[in-house]
Amino acid sequence: MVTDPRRRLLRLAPVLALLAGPAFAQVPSSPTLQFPYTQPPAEGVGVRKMPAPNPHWVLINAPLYGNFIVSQIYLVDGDSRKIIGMLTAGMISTATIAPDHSRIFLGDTFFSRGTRGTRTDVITFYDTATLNPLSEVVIPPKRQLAGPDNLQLGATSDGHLLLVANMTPATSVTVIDIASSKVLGEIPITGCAEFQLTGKRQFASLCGDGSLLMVNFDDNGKSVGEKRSPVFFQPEKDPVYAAPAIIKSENYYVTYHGVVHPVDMSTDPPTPGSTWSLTTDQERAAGWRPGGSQPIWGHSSDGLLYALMHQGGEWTHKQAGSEIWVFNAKDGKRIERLTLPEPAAAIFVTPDDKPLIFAATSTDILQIGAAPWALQILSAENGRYLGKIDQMGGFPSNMFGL
Amino acid sequence: MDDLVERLARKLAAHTSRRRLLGMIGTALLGGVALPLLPVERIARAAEAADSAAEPGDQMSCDYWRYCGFDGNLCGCCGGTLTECPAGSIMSPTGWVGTCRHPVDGKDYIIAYRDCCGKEYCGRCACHGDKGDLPIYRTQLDNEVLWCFGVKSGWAVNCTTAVNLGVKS
Repeated sequence: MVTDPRRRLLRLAPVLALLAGPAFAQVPSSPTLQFPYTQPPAEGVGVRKMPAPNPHWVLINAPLYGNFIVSQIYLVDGDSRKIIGMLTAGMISTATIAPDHSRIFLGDTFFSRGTRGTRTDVITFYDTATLNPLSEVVIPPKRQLAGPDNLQLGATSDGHLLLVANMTPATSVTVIDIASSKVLGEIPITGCAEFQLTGKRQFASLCGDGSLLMVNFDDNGKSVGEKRSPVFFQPEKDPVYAAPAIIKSENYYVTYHGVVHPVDMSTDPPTPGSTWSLTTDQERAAGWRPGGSQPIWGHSSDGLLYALMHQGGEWTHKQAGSEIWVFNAKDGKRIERLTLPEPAAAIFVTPDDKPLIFAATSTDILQIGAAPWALQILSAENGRYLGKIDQMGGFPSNMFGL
Repeated sequence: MDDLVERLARKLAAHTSRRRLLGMIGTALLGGVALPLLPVERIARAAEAADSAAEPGDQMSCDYWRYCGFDGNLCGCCGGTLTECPAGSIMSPTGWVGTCRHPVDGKDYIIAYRDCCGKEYCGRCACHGDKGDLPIYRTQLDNEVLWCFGVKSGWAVNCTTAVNLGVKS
């Protein structure tokens, strides 16, 4: 019988492979794995399942993950002090979680060829139970691309609508119906920027003249009435950080110099209250002031305002805080002063009754070779430092919880 | 608004001075509402160009006087100059402004910081001045905005320039 030379060659293949020497010598030998490799070992291989959401979770938005076009959203569990997972987002992304915690929404911007090409803005819906993307809604390509905070994307408390902050640089808010994945409309917020949902169909936007714009809207994403609060701060003299510490229905806006402006958001329009200061005259003279990308946070049930504080001069409003000062927000009395192991740029306090403090260190992300940042975790009950998660990428611009 | 910015980008950049351009952007930003938002046009009317030859200091250092409100990578470290973008990037027709004191004549000058867009950040000479930096509700003074409005093809910021618009009135 004449043998086909090709079939002979195939039969010889294992022998030839052995003779091939160096190319195969790099394959690690294993007593349990045999070639051809068909099945992984039964133990310890696969994709981790997500735990159920708990109030000690924190989501950290870390844009500029080595470049402008990728942002990282870290999901961290404060109890185990471990990363649970990540969401990889587009350019200067923004994130929020559904009121029932079933979905995480990302506001993403992509260009078709990475740093160039056609711009597409989308809201990506992620399943909190798997961290997988489920679907997306293409939105008008005008999403605000600026230092992220928690006022750029939000779901209404009934879980029906999603709002997105725009800037072209004219400002507006896009309204999306979550169930039908449709863009309903756009509400202009001229002279103001970003928004905070203050009711089921109501948001407030902070304005350039030092007032708040309150907008009521309907199920179709249309404005049905707008009112302005009185001017309550002077942006030229002592501007407030855009994101307030929120304690129940009271917003506490804090200025670069540490003056606190309480505003009652339960009235329409909002009602500014009496100011107080984070610092005494003596502390002010010593240069103490707030600073960071997210320098303040409010804890509703305890009625406490947390502030990252540092000693610095004028225009050090982004400098990381070496200490956390804790105040009773109603009377402005300081009740605690905590020294951090490392200065922090962003602070978040979990909303439960055994709260944890998350304090993210800073990094100069635009400098090649900048050190990674770290997430420090403290007990808010006794101020004890519990540990940190290091080697974090991007820049921790803002954090939020459940 | 997008169309307006595009027109600004395409036509006005070529035919209009920077100070006029910034004034128009301010008008657009205000949307016709009389808010005390943008000092640039008022300032620019009385502005006189500074003599750049008389400027002391190292333009490649974050301490250089024009960088008091700077935030980004110096274009001079990235293939451009103090006022020019590196080849292949796109100079944004828009930008934020700062007020910086000249170290010799002691006068305050309006500096327009304009991003060079369309390529990734260069990563060299990162400087963060923050003087006069205001939050997002005062957009034109916010140095954390990606100031690539009017640029169509890409919003990554390669580096940032610092253009002297003249003496603050």
